[in-house]
Amino acid sequence: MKWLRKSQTSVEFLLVYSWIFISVLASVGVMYSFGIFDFTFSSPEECDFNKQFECEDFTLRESTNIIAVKIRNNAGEDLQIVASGTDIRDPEDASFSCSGPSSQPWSSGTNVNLLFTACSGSSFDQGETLKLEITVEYFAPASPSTTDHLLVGNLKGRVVN
Amino acid sequence: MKRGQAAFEFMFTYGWAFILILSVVGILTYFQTSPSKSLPERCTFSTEVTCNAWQITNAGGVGTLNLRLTNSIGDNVTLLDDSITILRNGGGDLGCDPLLAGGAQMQWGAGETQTFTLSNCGNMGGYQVGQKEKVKVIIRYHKDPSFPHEVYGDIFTLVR
Repeated sequence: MKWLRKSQTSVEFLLVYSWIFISVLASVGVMYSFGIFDFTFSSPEECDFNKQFECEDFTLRESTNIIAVKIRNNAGEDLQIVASGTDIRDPEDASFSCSGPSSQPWSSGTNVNLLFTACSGSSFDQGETLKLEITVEYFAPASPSTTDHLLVGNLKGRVVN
Repeated sequence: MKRGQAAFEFMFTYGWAFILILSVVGILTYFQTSPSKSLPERCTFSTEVTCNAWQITNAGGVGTLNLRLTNSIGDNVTLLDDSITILRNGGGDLGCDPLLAGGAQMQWGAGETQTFTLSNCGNMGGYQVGQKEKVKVIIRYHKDPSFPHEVYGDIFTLVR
């Protein structure tokens, strides 16, 4: 008899509260179908480094598997980019990877085009918005110590064809 | 006997709810009422573009899409001949002619409002006049040709 009472309690619980579950699921379904959870339209693209290094433009291209970032050197001195310490990563996608740019000089007041090639990842598809972290290692050849520095920037961009 | 009684009581208690739901669904179906008919028309883009006015027409299977958009990117940008793509709801191109003549370019100044017309859209099957339909808009632009960007938009409107 005990099992009967237990199952009766379950049935009664479902009968009383099931309409709440159903209405919540229906509401979520309706909101989903109207694109409430689609944030493609609400998030602008962003590219932020610090003031000494201004991000001027960028692109994420699926057709050529490249990510290009144009950064301006406002540091007031000539720099040299170190390839081994220059990287791009997607903190939300461990499968994301790119080959980094080569070591190159970066004159004061000029733009450098950081070209990451052979990019791949589970979300590297046209229309997807990626949030990426870019690290650039550089040093000033004219400084006595030529100590390496790290520049870290954030890029939020839509993948184009 | 008790089990049968319980089932009977259950149906007697909640049966009216089932009948009510079925009746409402039946009435809606009879009058061909679709929830989308009562939804408002909308034109939504990501923050780089502001949609001010829009219209989709279908004249004998040939469609035209008019869009009045403001450049909210914050910079002057360039659009190419194939910069605007219109996709049907669920995928597939609407088959409109390119925005500009082959190889042509146009400038779109920061804050400037422009009217874009995409005509001769040949893939209008299912986009009946008098029905509300959805299309997806992709606008490709650049400040520097080496750095293209894309903006996405969504239009839900009455086909006229």
